[in-house]
Amino acid sequence: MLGVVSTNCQITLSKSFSIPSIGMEMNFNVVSPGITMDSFLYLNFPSYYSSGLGPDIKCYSPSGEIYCYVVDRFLTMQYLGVYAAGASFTITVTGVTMAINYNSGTFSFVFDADNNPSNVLAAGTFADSISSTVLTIQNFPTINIFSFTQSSAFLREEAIVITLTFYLSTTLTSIGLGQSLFMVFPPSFSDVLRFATPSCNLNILGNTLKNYVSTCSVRGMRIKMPFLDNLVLGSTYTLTVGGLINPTFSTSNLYRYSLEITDTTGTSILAKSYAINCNYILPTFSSNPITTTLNYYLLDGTAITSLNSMANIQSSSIYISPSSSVASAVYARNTYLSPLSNLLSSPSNINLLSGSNPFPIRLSSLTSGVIYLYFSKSGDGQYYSNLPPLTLTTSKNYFTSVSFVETAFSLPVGVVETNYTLVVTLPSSLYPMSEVSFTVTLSSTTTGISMRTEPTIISFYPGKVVASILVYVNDATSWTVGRTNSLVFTPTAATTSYAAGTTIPLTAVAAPSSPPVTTFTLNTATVSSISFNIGCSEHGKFIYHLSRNFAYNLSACSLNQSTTVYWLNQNSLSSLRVYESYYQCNDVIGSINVQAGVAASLTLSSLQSSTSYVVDGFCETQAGVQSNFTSISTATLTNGGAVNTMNFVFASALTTAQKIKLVCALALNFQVDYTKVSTWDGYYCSELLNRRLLQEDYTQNSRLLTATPSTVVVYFGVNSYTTSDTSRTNIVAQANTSTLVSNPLLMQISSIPT
Amino acid sequence: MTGLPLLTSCTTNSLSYVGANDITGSFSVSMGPNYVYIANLALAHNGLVYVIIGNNNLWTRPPVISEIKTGSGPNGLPPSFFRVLSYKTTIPTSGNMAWTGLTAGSYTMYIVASDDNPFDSANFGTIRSYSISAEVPAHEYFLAAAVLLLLALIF
Repeated sequence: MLGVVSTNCQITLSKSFSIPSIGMEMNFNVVSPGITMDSFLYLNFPSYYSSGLGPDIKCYSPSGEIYCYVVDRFLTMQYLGVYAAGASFTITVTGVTMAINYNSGTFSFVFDADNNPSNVLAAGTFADSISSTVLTIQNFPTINIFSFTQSSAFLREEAIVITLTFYLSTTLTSIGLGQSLFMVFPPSFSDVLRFATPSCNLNILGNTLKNYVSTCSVRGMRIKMPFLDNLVLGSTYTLTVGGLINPTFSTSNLYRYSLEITDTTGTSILAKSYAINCNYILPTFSSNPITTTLNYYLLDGTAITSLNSMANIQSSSIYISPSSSVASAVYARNTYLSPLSNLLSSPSNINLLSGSNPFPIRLSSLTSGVIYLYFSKSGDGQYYSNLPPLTLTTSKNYFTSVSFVETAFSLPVGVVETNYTLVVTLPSSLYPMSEVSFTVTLSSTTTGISMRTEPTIISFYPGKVVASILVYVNDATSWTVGRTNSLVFTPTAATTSYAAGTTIPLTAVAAPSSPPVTTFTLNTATVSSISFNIGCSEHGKFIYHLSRNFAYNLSACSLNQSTTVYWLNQNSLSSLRVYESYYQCNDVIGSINVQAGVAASLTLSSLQSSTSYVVDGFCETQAGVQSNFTSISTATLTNGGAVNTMNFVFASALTTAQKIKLVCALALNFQVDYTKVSTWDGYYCSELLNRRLLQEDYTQNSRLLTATPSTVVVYFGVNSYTTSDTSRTNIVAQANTSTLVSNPLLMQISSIPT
Repeated sequence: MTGLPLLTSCTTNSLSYVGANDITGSFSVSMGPNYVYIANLALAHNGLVYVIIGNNNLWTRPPVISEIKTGSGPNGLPPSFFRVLSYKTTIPTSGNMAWTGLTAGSYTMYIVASDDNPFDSANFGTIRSYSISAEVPAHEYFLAAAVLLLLALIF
């Protein structure tokens, strides 16, 4: 039985451009039943509207564009805004094709407070409206477009300028102040037009001194340009529209740009252009051959342009990649994306670094709504195409409760005041985008154990998905083998990301008879991961620390047990190496719960290939008793890369700046990771950040006596951030040609920036 | 590559030696009034030789590998001299070096060799250290003695 809460809700309809075959604007004037950002509005159109309603439907609330989609004649709108019961507001739906055979039918609507179908806020019907002019203005005059230019026909290019030349017949009634010129775009612009910031000029042909239009704004698939002055009929005009963005993907050229002139009410069309009278064809949009196309992908290589998430819960991972082979793709240029101001992302900054593989990106926002994402990029020198727009829809989580990786704990019996530490871990599908907190209690207070802190509140953040809970024995005679209790996790008042809390059962088991003994052996290593077999003789957790292993300083990255435990309990390792900047230790500290005597596996992934690591691990019982430290030194497998070198002999010695310029140029020329190109004396392309450059005593050069000061030995390193490094093959293919070696000037005059 | 001197030749790309490497045999570290030089230094394989000189009054401890690699003294203190040599086993003189900027004072020269790999995956040998100071030539002693004698005769 469907319940309806409100009976005061009303909707009335008015239309602009209500002319058969024209994309009209429908204004639904709503008396609110009391709606929030989580509410839905379902509109069912009469049957004489075309299926799909029109080639491109967009919806607007008073605060801007809102999310809507059409299935057949059923329009669903979300994130309308917040309107108290009785408040009036207008929703505009653009792009609905007016039916040729006009009838006056009935719409039906449903307002729903959430996506739970058992109850709705309001429901009802309202009549379609008919324009007084709809049947009289159908043969309006034609605007003939004589010529057309577009500054680029490459997909995804920005700052596009379109120029249209058209003639206004003297048969038109006067056109001018108060009326507007509209430029209508084909559906292929539906995802990018909302991001355009157009600039418009309308001049009489040959006279650019006078501009006949003022502001220039996007509404649906139209750009509206109000006239500033009366137009001279019988004249030819040039319309220039700049600041546009070309379509994202190739489509058929079925539709063209068209022009419309409206009356002073902005609701009726006085004249328009038709394709058959226009002396131009729409450009055939194609990818720019000198750019590499970036897209959003899932890990399986599926390209996406929309993504769903729940409020404050990270979406599934997406990847920005130059190919659908996400795992093996490699960025060839540093590329920085912005803005992220109204978006939460993990990682918080999305920087695509040359030489690295695409990495998982998870998005969300704190509240329900839709975010149309269009990143602008920098740093790549236009090596990559622009990314397509991405639609992120975020809904309130009505159904998914919090849960943890750990589903049960075995808690040893012990004497009064014995402390236990229980570690809970959020599953990746429930990672928060900002802080979430839970109050932890015990379901029973009579089983002999208590929370060490009352109240116990645990929190999770992006990057901190593990929390510790302290309990202790308060009555040893009650907490006996086989006794049970439960940890109860209740979201705090500020935590609304999960539908409900959860519980984890506790069971009393026999106390350990001796300190824990660790089993820790190497299992397998791949190019990017290392697996271990682990085990503890007692219930508790296995704590590990992974770091790089430098052969010339084996202790450079080592931590002792107490330090490891300290950093395990910190929210971030960002300040762990604050006093040591040289060694890139790449620390990973973590723990996993283990059952006594039950073998488990530990896999550490996202590691660098061809790299030596050391992993230290030990067991800790829930009562805090630790085993001895066990270390395993190992290395990830090679990714095929190898350190290689070339000698360059110049007519004179190079300055430091020139060395840096050389390695930067070689990185660009050979298209290899610039951080892996170095002179023999340690100058990188990024050397400007190195303090040595700032301390360089240039006078030393004149006092240094070496045999061949003008020879520069350049090394190309292994890009260990990728699973496959073919950089040497690429370098050899270009460098080891007889032409180049015999005529090195070819390299000097190649396309190297100054 | 505009902005650079004329590129007169370049070699083909070749693999670098990556592995254990260190100085073999003995070599000479000699000083004069304003210079210090290294001669006959040889490595087991192609590699890099890091030479850094610090003022003993400034450096309170020897530099470690990570500091030497970045041309730094201990705790970021500047060196008096720093240079990296690219040693090739086919060019015996590639381990030779001279610096003519030595001034009066007490210094320590540190030398360490690595494999043919300037990146952080390099393999280093032992850090060697040598006390050095500028040697005052004999004629300067004679000149000083003559000045003192002249002053004594005058007064």
